[in-house]
Amino acid sequence: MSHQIGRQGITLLEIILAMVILTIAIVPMLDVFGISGRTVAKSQNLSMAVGLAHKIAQHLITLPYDAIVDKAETALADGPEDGMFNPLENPGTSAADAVKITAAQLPELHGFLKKYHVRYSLDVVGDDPKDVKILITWIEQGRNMLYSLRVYVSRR
Amino acid sequence: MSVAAERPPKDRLAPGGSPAQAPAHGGSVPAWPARGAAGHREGFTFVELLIAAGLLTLIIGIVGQWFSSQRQYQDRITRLNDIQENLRQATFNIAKELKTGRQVIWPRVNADLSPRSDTVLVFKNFRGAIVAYYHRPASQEVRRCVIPNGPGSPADDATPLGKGIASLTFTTMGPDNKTVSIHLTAEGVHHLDAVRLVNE
Repeated sequence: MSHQIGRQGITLLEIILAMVILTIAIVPMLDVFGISGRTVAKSQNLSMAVGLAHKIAQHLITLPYDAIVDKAETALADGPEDGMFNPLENPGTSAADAVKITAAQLPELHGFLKKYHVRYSLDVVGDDPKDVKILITWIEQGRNMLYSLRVYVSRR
Repeated sequence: MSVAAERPPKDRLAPGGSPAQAPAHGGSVPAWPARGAAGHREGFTFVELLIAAGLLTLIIGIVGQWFSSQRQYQDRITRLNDIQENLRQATFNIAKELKTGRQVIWPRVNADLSPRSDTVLVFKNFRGAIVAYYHRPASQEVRRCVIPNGPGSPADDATPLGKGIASLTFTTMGPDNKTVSIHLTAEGVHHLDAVRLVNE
């Protein structure tokens, strides 16, 4: 762009225009790091869900056969006493010492499970063996996420 | 001030190197063109260079800061990934031997059948050897040792089962004391799992 005869070089307007174009080009690049961050958070939640589903599957073996029935969505944080996640631990010698997933007793774990609204449910089909679908659901960036594990339990 | 155009162009010099003479008709074509005259000016002015340098510094500052913050963010993500990997690896190593175990010796469910937790797990493996898993907080490791069934000292494994583990809790539950719930944490990340012993 040259307004004067014989004049060469870049004007301030051209520099500003170049900056604007550069900014427009850089803005989408900013999201690249955000995407990788979200992917790691996603894998963390998925890893947690896999562990939870596996934990439930192991507990199902200890349950009386007739007690393996459908179960509606149950929250892990502040959840009811279900023998799987509440109580979670017990450092003492009686049921009174049991530790549940509450803000007071396990604040960090409670905060995580509450943040993602982590729940579990059971969908039981058949009688012998029972086809049990373990569903772990959580909310991630406004989207409902699900991990499903299918196990077969036979009468012992 | 002009960076270029300080000297007259070559075509205005006489063959001998001296400035061309004025025309005979007494015209007013200058032998040395005026500084900054249109049509002969080249390059940038000092003000333009200053502005360009200022803008460049500004852009470099902003981009540098952005890269620095992204680098820190990327480091945090990598760290989180490593933590998850440590938790998964430790759980896998524990479950690998424990699920084929015969009997949990410690901890045992309470008399009222409520679960019981500890940072140490002692069990009899499928070969009948007494094995202990324990957490070493100082080094943030999960270690395995074999306790001899008779005289002798417990022998630690050379390598830990898990590294970078801040806390580990084993909880036995169930009337037969054969379900072990595992709760690991590392830098605020939790991992829950359970193992059911299958051998009698």
